[in-house]
Amino acid sequence: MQCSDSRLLIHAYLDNELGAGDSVRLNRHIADCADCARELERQSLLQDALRRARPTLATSDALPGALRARILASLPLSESTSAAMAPLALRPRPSLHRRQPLTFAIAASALLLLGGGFGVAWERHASTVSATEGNAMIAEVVSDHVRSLQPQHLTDVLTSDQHTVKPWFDGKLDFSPQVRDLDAAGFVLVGGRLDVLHGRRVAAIVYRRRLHPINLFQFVAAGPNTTPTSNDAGDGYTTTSWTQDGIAYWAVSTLDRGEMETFAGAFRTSPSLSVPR
Amino acid sequence: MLPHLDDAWRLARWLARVDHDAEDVLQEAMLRAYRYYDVGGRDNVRAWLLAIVRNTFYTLRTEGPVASLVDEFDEDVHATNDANSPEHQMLRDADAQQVRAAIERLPVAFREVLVLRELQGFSYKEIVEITGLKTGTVMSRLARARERLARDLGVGAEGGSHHAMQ
Repeated sequence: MQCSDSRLLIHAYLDNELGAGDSVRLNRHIADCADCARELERQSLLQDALRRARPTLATSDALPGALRARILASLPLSESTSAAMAPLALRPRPSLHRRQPLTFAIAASALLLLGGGFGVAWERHASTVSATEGNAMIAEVVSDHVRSLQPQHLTDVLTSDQHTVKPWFDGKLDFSPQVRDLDAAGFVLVGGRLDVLHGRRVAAIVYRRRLHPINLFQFVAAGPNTTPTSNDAGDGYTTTSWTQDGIAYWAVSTLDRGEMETFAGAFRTSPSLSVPR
Repeated sequence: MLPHLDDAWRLARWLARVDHDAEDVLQEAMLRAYRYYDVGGRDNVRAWLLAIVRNTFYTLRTEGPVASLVDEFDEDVHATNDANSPEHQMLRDADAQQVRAAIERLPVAFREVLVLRELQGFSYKEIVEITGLKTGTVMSRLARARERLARDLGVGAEGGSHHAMQ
């Protein structure tokens, strides 16, 4: 083996990418060649230095929350809307830095107006969803979900940070909605909004898995805890509902039952965020 | 692909080196990724997404193509040194800030393979998939990247800075 080959293979060797035959030949060469032996040692010292630096570099290179939110905001919300959003991709420098806060401001002010109106008409329904209500509820959850996917409708408060989403609801509802970090389970928090479901004012917490937005509606329910029940609501939509600690949860998305139940399971077992109201 | 957003950001940042540019790269790359997500089956979404980040970076940046950078850097880097030399000692002592600075000084063609391998843990096969380079090219660029890095760290931050001027 030539030194020039050895200098290349040393790296594959350190990366565990070298075949057995080449490893043997490299070792034989290194036993005879002091220069290559030193190079191997130098490269393994470098590898150690990189290994030591890696955790620090990974931490300082973490994606900032604000940027994550901005990226999520700019993405098409579903397969069907992605075609309509396509021209955006051709803009050379997206003007999102300016556009997002404006959009947010408009959404927020519209919400203030809406919130005032609903506040007057608001009447508390503290009952659970009865069996006969079930089918109507499924249909309404799906239609709310579809409506929410219209541009700019998905979230009023847009952030991947649960500590921002939760306080946003303060004073807007008669209960404190549950916002939980499900990153580890592969469900990314996108944001939240106020919505009306079956005559109730509800919280909608929005998560995303791959391309699929998930709306998780929450409202007060007086009843025992129930385990998640899933329904195929037609047109590829799945709803999963359960009750936990006095809150009824209705999740809806185009994910299949299996993934919806994974979502429900992850949500139910994640610790709730405690923020003093 | 959203679980890989952090990886996409890291690569964008290492390539662009300036946060503002890296943000543009990431934003544009994610839009592209969403447009093409439905096209074709792919088993390694992470590698596929990083390939888009890389391509977006090269599209958005205004400098010349990569190829022009590479050939200029084929120089002797095999200076002999003994195991107890000050150079080896500096390598042993190198801290994260020195490592970062040295990686940032690498020409982008070397930097990208080094970052993909050392900081993002991709196999050679995946790096081939991401970059579209031949395996032999990946190996030789990785070797040169590390040789430069070892030399740069070995002579310390002051001595290393003028490599960037080459």
